[in-house]
Amino acid sequence: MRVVHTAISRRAAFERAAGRGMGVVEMEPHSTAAEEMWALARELNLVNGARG
Amino acid sequence: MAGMVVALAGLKGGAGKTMLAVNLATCAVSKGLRVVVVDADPQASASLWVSLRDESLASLRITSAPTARSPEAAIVGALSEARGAQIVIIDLPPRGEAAARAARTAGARLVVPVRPAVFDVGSVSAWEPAREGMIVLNMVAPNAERSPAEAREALV
Repeated sequence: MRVVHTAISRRAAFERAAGRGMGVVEMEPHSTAAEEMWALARELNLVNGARG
Repeated sequence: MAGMVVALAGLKGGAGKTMLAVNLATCAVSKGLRVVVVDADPQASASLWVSLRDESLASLRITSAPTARSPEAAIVGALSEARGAQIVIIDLPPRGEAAARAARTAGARLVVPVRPAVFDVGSVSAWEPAREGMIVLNMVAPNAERSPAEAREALV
């Protein structure tokens, strides 16, 4: 099975953001949770592999 | 046709599918990309999340895809509605093998969040869609039953 390198922790930060309809990169952009999320988005090629 | 399609799938509820779906969506909108979230989970948590968003935040579209009757038609219909989006994030229902298969057939990349716990790792290993997707270790905690390294080793 393919397991991505990035692991996600910081559950509380995600829940805080979700309660306001936000993502962690919006609510706590300099947090470890946001760093993890950006790392995952990059690893999935989501933010650098989009087609216009 | 929609751009990149990512579908969050999972065998169990509570693994963090919706959480990852909405957070990946916010990463993409933060980069200025046109994003559509497809809520295919009957719990409709992604739809609730969007309803909580303040108007001042970057906008993203949401569409629902009721997969109970015909998963394939629901996914195809939702992707048709998402035409013009650069990123489509599908939040699939738990235990939604047929929906996951339909998303895969439609070109989606399956992403499967798994908690690094003994039963979660064990059950997902035998779940067919997980073999075709990418596993994300989620809700990793310092006192987890298994470390990410142990869970990774058990999964690969």
